[in-house]
Amino acid sequence: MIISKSLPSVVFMCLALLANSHPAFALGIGDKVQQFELANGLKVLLMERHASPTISFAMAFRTGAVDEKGGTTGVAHLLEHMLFKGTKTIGTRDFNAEQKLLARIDEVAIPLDAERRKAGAGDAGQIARLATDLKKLQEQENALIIENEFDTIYTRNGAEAMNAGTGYDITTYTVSLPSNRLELWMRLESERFASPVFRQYYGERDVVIEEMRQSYETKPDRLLSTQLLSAAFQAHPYGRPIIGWKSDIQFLPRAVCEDFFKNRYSLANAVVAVVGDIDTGRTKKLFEQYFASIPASPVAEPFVTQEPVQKGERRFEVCFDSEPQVLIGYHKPTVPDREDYVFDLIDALLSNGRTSRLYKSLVINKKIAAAVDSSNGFPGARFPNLFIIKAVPLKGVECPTLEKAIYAEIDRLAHEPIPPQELAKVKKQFRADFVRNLNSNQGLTHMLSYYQIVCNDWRYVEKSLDVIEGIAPEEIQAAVKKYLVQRNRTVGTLVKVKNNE
Amino acid sequence: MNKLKIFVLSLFFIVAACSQATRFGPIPASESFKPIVFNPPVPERIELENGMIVYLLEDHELPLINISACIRTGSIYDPPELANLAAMTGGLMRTGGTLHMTADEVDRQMEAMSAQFTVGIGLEQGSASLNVLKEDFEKAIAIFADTLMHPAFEKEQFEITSATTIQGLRQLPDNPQSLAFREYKKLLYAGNPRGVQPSIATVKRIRRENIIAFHGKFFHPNNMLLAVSGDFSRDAMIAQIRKQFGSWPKSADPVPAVAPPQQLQAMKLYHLQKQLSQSTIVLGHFAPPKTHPDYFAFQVLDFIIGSGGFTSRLFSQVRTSQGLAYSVGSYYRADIGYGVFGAYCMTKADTTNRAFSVIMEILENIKKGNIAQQELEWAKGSILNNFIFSFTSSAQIAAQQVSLEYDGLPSDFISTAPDRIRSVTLTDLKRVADTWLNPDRMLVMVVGDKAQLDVQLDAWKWGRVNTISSDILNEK
Repeated sequence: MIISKSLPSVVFMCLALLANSHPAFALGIGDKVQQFELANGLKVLLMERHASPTISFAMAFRTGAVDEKGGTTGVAHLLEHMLFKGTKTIGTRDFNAEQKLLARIDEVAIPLDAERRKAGAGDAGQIARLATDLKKLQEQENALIIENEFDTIYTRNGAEAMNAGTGYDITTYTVSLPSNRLELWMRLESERFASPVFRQYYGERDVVIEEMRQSYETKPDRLLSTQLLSAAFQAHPYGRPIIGWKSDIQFLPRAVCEDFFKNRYSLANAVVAVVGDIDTGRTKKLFEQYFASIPASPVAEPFVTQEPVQKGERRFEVCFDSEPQVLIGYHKPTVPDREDYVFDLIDALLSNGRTSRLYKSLVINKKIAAAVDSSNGFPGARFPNLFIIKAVPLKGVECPTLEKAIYAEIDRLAHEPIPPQELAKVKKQFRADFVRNLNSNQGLTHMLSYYQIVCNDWRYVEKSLDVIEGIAPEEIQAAVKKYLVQRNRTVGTLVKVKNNE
Repeated sequence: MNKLKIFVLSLFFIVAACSQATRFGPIPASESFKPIVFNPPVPERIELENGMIVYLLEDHELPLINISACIRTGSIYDPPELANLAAMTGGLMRTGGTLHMTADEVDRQMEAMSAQFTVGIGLEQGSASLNVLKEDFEKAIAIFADTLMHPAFEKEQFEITSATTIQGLRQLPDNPQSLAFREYKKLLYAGNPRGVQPSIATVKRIRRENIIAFHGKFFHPNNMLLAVSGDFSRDAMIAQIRKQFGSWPKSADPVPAVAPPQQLQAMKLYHLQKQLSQSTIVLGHFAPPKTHPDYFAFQVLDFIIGSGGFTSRLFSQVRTSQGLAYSVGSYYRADIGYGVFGAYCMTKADTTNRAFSVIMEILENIKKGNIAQQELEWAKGSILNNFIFSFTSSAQIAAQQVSLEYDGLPSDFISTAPDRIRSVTLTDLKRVADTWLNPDRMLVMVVGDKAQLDVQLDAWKWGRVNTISSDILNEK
């Protein structure tokens, strides 16, 4: 994410989305969504909702960390930050002068990165000289730019929740505006994705390193989940952190960002969802006016490496000065495969609420865990992913004891009949959550753009419920027996190692 | 081949860019948009015979009903040796069953309806909420009301709450930001009930009897306000609320007020050792209460300092210009008797002093009155244009009225806010900065690794830095 104004740390975007978008049907939004496509391939989804004079926008691209090449991890996310830096007309006092300066900055920064990359072996004198030169050039750059003008304009116009999130396979830019500012969004966003300028690049790269320290290096649970992905995905890029490996991102060249933008940010690779106090006809005209003239550009070949079938249990530890935790991941298919929906139900049966099986067993009955949770679809959704279970032991309880209790519940799910009222309970949860999601313009834009990107069809928002309603208990048991087995799992444990204080 | 492809793509890029720049002309000025005319719906207020206040707002878009209750209580009433009593009372109300239903039965019924049901007690307020499909409302509100009036606090559930709460405290220091804010609040409010922080020892002392007594003291209809919104008809809803809560007797004992905290007289600096690559810095002091005439001007000031996004001073200098942090900003929370202003920043260990110096410089500059008219106009315009987002859902609008009445503020406090913001002048802003912003009398908390700092703690130019340790894990 580009901003973290409030303190709670950033979550994986994909997880957040899944948590908010449990599919279920009730109210026929199918009639309310208007869909069209511009000649350049941009897909637009519009939904009128006149509860308040506000509009929410989500512009999503079918790209993310999975599209990064080796040695350039973190570029998708850094690029997301750079797309807040303005354009040739926004954020600059004199673009021609600035453009020349940007080239000179690269000429100093590239050799500087090269020397610094040698760690202790770099030429200290040259590093100092280049660093001084870079600082001078950056000061000149600062005099030519209007810092953060893109945000200044949005904020001045009352923007709410302006943000962006980079996932493994989807990157989304969001904002809400008072409804009289519809055209302002068209004006700003069409230019943002047609002619962005990556100014103040090297400073922003430092910001991302701070983000890495804040959200990864100093957060034990994030260290554990990052390692789980690395252990579970040996070939597929889900095994790399979205923020990138530090040695990649620290020295990532600006040109790599530009290439990634050119290859992945074609409008043919994008979906826009607009929900709120709009007039469909006028909105459509504005899209034609502002976006249609941006030329179509080819989308680079999609990423193809597949994760080989796991051949046995993998176990690892993360040592950190923190309380213990256990995290378990199982490989499984992804949406729109029917088995993925089966896992939505398994997830709800195991950990949704105080009557769920894992909570009831580990927290209430056995009194061995302080918390237990599961999640379907980690860490992305366009490729086969993981079903994960996480538990925190009470003091004095060893992680293997938790593991045993978790496996016992999985075993029970596989072999004992599932009571019909329990299945009815979780199916109703999906329906109710869906209705609740209809109560927010922002939530709706997320759901629509997400399903359009992941399933190539926003109608899965509704179709999903029909699928879930129709799933039989035998299918759940079959999936548990097939996937939630020892040879298909990766188990990580956070082990407390006290630092010297 | 590859090269050619890249070349073609770049060309597209440039062509698009050039035509783009000239195609749309200048960005329209914010003032040029046709003003929005919007009259948000007004909730109806009723008062039951037993003193319970209810705000009602019908909204038939979705088949949902939402209730949120606000209860006059808070952890400010925790006896210091039993810190966390209020929070545990709230938690156990939700999980401990009622006099008419076991804990398990409550959970099973609520989850079978897929009801969202919460109870919690924060610093100066208790809350409970219910969000449920219309078809299940009658059944759900009966359990909701029973929970508020007649919680059972089952012994087994009490033991689970106690054990999981203690584990939560053990885990808290794993998050350096949570730890920094805990210690910051403890020191900022030192000597005031708001500064009391739970530790393992205080939680271990809490008995089930303390919880029963805490509930008995505060949960009465004349200490409670309800906001009800959603798909119902007014008359039926009023009848339903009377049926559930009407026979609940009122209490004769008013909830006592708690004196506001005292302003610091000098700067105080604290450091807590944690071996990490990044430091967390929190600093601040008290600010105008919500009832003070300077409330609106200080809100504008805080927006300019660090809560107004990228353009605010802290963000633009600490993050954008210098690349020292991902999270940096300020906040202003006003209550009735006092307000709090604070700033925060997470920066790598060896730029801790540098980032802190930049923050202090910004605050001192603002204090001196270095604020431009243009900055004021930007901040006011931003707040005013964003105002419409205060009214995006019926639940939000109903809860707003409850919150105003809870605080004893007039019901038009929010609707008249735009005029009050609009009338803030540069003179006001400078006066408010001079009066209320005091960088030389702030409390500063740094959590980080002293071995990696850019300037050793004893060489900090701001004053002596006291190294402290946290008492959160104390067992006795």
